[in-house]
Amino acid sequence: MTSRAEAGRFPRQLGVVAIAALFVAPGLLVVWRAATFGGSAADTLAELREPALRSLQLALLVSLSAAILGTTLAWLTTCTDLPGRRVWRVLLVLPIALPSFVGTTAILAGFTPGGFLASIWEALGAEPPRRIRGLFPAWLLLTLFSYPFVLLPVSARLRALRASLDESAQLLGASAIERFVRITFPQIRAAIVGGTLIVALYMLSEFGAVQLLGFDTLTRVIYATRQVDRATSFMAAAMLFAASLAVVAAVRAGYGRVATDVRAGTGPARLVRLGWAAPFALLVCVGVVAVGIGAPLSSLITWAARGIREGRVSLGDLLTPIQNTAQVAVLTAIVTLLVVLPVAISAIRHRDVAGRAASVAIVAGFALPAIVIALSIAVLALNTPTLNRLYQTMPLLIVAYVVHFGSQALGSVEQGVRAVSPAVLDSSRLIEPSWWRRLLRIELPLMRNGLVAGGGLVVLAVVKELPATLLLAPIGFRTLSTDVWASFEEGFLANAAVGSLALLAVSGTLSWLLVFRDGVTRDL
Amino acid sequence: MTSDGDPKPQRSVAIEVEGVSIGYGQAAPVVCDVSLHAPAGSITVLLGPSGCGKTTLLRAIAGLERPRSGTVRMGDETVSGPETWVPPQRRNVGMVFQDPALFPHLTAAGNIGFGLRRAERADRDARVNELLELVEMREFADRLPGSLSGGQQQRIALARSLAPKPAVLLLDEPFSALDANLRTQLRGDVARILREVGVTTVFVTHDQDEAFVMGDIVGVMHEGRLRQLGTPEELYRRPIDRWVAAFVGEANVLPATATDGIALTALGRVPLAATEANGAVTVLIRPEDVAVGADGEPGVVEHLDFYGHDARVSIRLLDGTVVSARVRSQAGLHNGAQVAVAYCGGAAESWVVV
Amino acid sequence: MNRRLTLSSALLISLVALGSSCGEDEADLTIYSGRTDDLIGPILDDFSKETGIKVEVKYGQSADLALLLDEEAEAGRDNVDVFISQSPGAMGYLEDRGRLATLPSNVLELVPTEVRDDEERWVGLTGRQRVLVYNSDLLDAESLPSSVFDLTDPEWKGRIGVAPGNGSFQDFVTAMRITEGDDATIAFLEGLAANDPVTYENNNAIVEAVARGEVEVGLVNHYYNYRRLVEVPDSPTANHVFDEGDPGALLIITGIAILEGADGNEDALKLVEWLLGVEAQKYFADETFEYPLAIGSTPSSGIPSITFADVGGIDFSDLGAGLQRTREMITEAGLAG
Repeated sequence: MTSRAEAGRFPRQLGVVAIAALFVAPGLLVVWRAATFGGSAADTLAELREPALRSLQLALLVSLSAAILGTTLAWLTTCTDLPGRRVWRVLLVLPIALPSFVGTTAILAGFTPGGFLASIWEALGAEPPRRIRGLFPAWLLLTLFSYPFVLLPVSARLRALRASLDESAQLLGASAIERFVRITFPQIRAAIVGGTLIVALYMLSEFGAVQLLGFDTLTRVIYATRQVDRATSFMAAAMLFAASLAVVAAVRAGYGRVATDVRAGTGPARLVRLGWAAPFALLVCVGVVAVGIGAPLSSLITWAARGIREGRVSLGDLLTPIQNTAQVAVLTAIVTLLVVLPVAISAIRHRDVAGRAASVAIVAGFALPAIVIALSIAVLALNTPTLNRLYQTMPLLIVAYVVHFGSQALGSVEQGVRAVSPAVLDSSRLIEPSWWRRLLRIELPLMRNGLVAGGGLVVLAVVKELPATLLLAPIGFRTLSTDVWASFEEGFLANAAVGSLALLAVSGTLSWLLVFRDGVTRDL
Repeated sequence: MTSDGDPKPQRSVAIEVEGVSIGYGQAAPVVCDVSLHAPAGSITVLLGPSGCGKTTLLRAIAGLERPRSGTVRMGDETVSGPETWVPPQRRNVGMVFQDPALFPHLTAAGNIGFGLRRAERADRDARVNELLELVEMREFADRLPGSLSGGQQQRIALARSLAPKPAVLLLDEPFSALDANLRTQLRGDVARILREVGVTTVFVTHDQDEAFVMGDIVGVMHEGRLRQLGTPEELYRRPIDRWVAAFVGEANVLPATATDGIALTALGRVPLAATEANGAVTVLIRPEDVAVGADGEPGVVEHLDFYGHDARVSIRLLDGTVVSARVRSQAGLHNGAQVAVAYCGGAAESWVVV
Repeated sequence: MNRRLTLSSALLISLVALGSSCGEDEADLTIYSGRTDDLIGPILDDFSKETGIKVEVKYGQSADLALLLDEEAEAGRDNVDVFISQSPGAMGYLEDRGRLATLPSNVLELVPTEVRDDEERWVGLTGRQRVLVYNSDLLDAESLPSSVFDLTDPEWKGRIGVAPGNGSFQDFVTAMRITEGDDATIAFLEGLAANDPVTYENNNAIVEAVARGEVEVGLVNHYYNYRRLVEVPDSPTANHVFDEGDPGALLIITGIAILEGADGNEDALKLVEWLLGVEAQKYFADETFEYPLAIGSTPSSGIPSITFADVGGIDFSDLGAGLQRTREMITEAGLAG
């Protein structure tokens, strides 16, 4: 038994290392390119100082505000008697289905004269805002688009807390606030940190909204200089890579400090009475939903309605992009699970170095902007004879997606792996000697919730992805997001709006079915 | 007990529960019109099968449930009544749950010190050490709960609940998740600690052994009602009805006819506690009051359980009645052996058949 | 959970199956198009319907696609037949790299000589005029300058929107270099930069910003405002055309070319001819509000007519060359995003 396990260790670790290499390769290529490209490194770095500071500023501010907002909303909808909290629970996760560039464009265009938002302002007797640019709007909008990444894991954690902890603290004389600070918060801290990490990395690689709002971060530099000045482009990409690795390393270092209770409980025994604070809490929820979802949706619906009424939109045109989007998203989810699962098993079940290193590599992949991964993979494919034929084919596009979005699945897949206890593994070994039948009949069914949630998150991310798709999609392969982007750019608002609504419908339906409904949310 | 860590002496008060009913919505109440008195410094055990409402009653004393009606008093203070409600954090109550519910992110010492956060640091440390000593967990002060065994966790949970010197301590089946040996040992230790501290304790369990060992007073609950309250001896010897009799111990319940306090049973004549009883009665005969030997009613050994310190024999009498007997030695006993049985106890409890 | 899982899996599988069942047929013609689907898709569908020639299109930014085509050719892949560019700059880049095939004279002669390549490697499809879009609520038409050079006047400080990273702006600067010389161009760019213009990614963003009042005027292509008026009829935006001959009134040519290696492709030639035909040219005029370039075609009513001589006699094929230097000049002036 022992010898067999020993014998199996080497190939498994080799496989895991190969997967890690896949996730690290684009980053290394970027660093190598940045290091070997000509030009004065000092000048380039000086040039990039400001954009780099802006990237960090945005990541820091949005992480902080998204963490606070996401945690507050999670607490309000899980632990209090907030009126209509079941409805809020659904409404408040909706922004996750909205790509930031769609939301931002819709809000920007909605504030132009004749736009839906501008007319609301005018109806209220106010002058609509003219200048919507720079840090403040970027911070505000991106916070409202990204807080669900914190809300979801924190809600799940809150629902899984055991009531006896809170009751014990109460009997020991702790007030409600004291209990939150000293008992609940330490228990949900890991979930907050995990969600905030995703937000931070997302902000470092955020492209659509910052570009539209004229806030020049490193991603915008990469995009602007990707043809003219590749040295700068790769240098900026290398800086982003370094920043995100630093974020991940810092979080990993601090992560293990808090001991948490992994046993699932029944959630809060009694709901906190909001009392006089209820109207304020409601106001926060209404505001967040109104700006984060209501404002973009209202603009989109206005344009779509007008375009359809005037016969300028053909809905049949949407069929192909919808099919393409669904197809590539599902394939990517499946491949991602196949790649991430062995890493999660290695890291959690066998606790080996290769597995843990590979999971760090997977998380780091999310931090590299999609456009950089796409560029790296394109350059790599074109310069490698054996890979040449794969260029601009579905497999390579999927590889780029997997590298970028593997981290989205990792957390849930890890939860799935944890769901198979060592005792179950041992007893299944005695009953079923064939490892693959064991996997099929015992392990996969137990991991199902985690795997489905992980796959669902990947599908959602792919549906919303833009820059890598623009660069790597097979010829003629139109997805919803590339169609919407192009329509907005040329001012075809009605077409863009109809496409955006279709995109929202696809991502919204998928997220609702696969991710957010009660059963699976716990595993997030 | 010394209390150099905290100048406030341990103060224990009586608990008075009067006519308390607890329930939710339209459903039948979980606890129905229960009254009980737990004297200051005593250990009162609530005993009953699962679902009988004993834990709910305990949580109501703690303030974690709000009764529909009735009052709860602690000493002179009414903590729960028609117009009064003291929230749990202000009741000066300690509680240990079935699951230890230790705060996973705090060390053993940190858990014990949780309720002492308003004390001076030096006082707090002294009190924590005192309690670690009390529960014999000194060397585990800096361990996180995750690295402690179930029994160790419960010791820390007990210390944590005692740290703020509560006037009342509530224990909700604290040993039920532990294995038998550990349970017996911990039960003894806890009983010793509670007597040493002298805190008024209400202890909930479904285990009759535990109830008798721990309790000064035991209340038997069934289907939301308090069926009987008394000392363990009273409960065992003078159960109020057949159900209580069977729940608190093994019982032979035999039909008989009484004449002037003497019942004629399948085991022969049995003196009754109710000396003037006449007519059809049911008589409670504990197995240890059945002697197996040469004299008495003849019977056949049907079954034999050997426990080491004693053995239990099931014997079928000629009329078909099966009685249980506890015997010190099983010499000569085997399945099918011909024996004679006789009643050898004192005045037995009986109930009139209606 | 079980039912939801089955439901969603069924939904996805059916979508995927649908998706893979169509679009399997091999296309006759592969196009890289810098014009977006909205700007050319419907007319390409008509082409396929009419001729039976199946086309596959990859849409993207003109410059991205040009770069991609070059890299692909470098790697020995030549599966693309036709390149449609929004920008002469991107077209000129590919021409310089020797990636374009020569076109037969009967195709070239469908458009005036001013709007086709001297080297005979591309022809113009449509024209887009550079204009100054302004907010008609905030400004009177009379107060607007007659030359783009006037925008360097300090009175315009903080009121101008530009898109220095966009191909159309870069083409405009290259044209200025050709007609006015590099020194004058640098002076203009520095003057413009000194007025702290607000930079945007593309023309449409500028028109929106002008409509909102974030800036009062913006340097854009003419048709974005016409597009906007269709989508948002009460938009307070209008076009102002600089004087004849001013580099600010440049007509930018969107062109089409056949790639080196695809010269023998009859279908490719048919496509070029068809896009210069009556139906397609009318589509460009009426639906996208551009200037049709084929001889005999007319712009949409409501759009000021234009003669190709008006654009200042610039040799359009020169616009592509020196794009790199143009971008450097823009950056050095401190304009690039």
